[in-house]
Amino acid sequence: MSEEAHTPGGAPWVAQVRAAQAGDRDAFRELYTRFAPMVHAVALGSVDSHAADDVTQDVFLGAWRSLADLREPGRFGGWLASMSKRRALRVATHSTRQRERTSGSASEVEATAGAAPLVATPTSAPTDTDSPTTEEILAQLAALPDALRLPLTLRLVEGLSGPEIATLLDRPPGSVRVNLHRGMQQLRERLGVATPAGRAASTRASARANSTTPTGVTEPPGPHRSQP
Amino acid sequence: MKTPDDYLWDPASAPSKEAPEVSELEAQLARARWSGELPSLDDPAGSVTPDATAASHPSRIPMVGPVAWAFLAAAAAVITVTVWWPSSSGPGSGAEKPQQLARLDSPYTLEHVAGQLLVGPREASPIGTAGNGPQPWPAPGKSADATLAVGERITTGPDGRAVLHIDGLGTLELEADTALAILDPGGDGASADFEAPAASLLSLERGAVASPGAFQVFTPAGLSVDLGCIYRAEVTDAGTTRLAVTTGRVAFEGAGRRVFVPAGSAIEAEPGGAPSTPLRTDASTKLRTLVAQADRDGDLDAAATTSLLRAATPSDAITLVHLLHLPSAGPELFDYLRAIEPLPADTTREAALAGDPAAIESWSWRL
Repeated sequence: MSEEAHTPGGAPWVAQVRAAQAGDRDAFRELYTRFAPMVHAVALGSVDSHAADDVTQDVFLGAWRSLADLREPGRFGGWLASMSKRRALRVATHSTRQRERTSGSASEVEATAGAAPLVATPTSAPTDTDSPTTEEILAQLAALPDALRLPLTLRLVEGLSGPEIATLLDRPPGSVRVNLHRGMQQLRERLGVATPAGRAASTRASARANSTTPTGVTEPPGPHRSQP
Repeated sequence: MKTPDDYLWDPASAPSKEAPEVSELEAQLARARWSGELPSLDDPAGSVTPDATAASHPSRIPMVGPVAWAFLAAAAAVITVTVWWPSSSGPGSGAEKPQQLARLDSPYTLEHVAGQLLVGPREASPIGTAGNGPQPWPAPGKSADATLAVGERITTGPDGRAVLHIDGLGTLELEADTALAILDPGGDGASADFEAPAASLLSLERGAVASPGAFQVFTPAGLSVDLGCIYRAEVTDAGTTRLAVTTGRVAFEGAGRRVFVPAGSAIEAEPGGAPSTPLRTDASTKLRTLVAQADRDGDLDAAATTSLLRAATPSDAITLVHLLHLPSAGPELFDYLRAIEPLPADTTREAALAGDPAAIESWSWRL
């Protein structure tokens, strides 16, 4: 995705939306390329990655079918995002209720496991004894406040840059940058990873301890766990 | 000067040695990255699930700023309910059809948690009377998860608690001494008073509910629209509505005023009166006093406005944005707020100072 400046009031995809509304499939494919990561990222806030894939496909098929109803092409992104969130919540709620009603039936639980709603609390963060799995990290990501979760998901999962995220979400770049920073801080806390400042302080303290008590046992610089 | 977050902003730059976890997380999470292809568009009708299709009719709602994102969810939800109901008992026909018919595929399921719980037709069971309407729940011969129908009222006793599940929308917890009626989402009420059609229309007549679902709930003082959140609404015997939001946000409208209540904030509304300006639950007494004065008098003089801004902190911005319509104080509040967050592109200074709900909501989402 090319980097585009924040364009308040004039989303760069308006012409593509209008063309797609007129039946231009190539224009819709371009919109798909641009917005699929966002739709997927929104869904990841409610369901796991497998179910999020299904939600993303469903949302775009539904969007193509009802695109003529969209009155403000500049709001295409918000329109898709609301569809994705609704669809993902529906999938999560349905699977939860299905599990509740069929508790004891292993086959049912297995059948709906992919759509499990993501629930994570700081206390459920992975321990230091093992590295968190991708789904565990996604669950911690999903537990962040809405305003922080989506930009950070777009950055870490979907691989977009900050300016690209600002354009896609039609948000001021400064605001996105702050939310990425705050989101990363909170994710570090949830995963038990030290902040850069904390690691630096720990390293300094360790160095001081080494210089004064050369025979003492030194601690590793912070709880940072390396991922493979 | 480089900072550890530079790589977080620009992945084309070199990963930070001070924050290696960013690139490590990025590498691991890339496994979940979207990589699918656009499916065939030739026959989408056969591939789209009913709710996904029903969820895409924004033309029923004016697309005004970020408000539309949340309102679209409510709009879609009511359509989802419509899809699930049998055609012979869809929205609008609940009053004419026998309750048993409406129950067949009703999305409303009641869970009895504790204490006294009564259910009966709303029209036949005035609040506070046993009468011949409400029956203990579950009624003899009915399973505990039997469904309810439009037009029924749930009443909890002094020790009663229940949970109303609404398929696809969420749950609503009824506290003790509460009366809650299920209204017809397609009938009079929500759509006439609010831009968004009702997702699932309920009437809280007395008591308190906590809602983590997308509902519209009438109270004697107005209509609350859950914009994806957890909140608690309480109606006193006098009809006063108190609404406190835990997560997300709620829109509340009464007597021509619409307010948006974010997490950590609360409002109060009297029957027939406009809802109060949202205040953070930990707002200072000074701020509360001045906001109450503004709500009562409809304006603040220069001295009071200065005091208001001194008493407020940036985290009180959601309160201030709801006071922009004050004739004297508005312009000063506007400048204060603009220093915190630029005015959204989809609104104007004039609209904000006029207290236009769309402008207020658009800005409030960013504050």
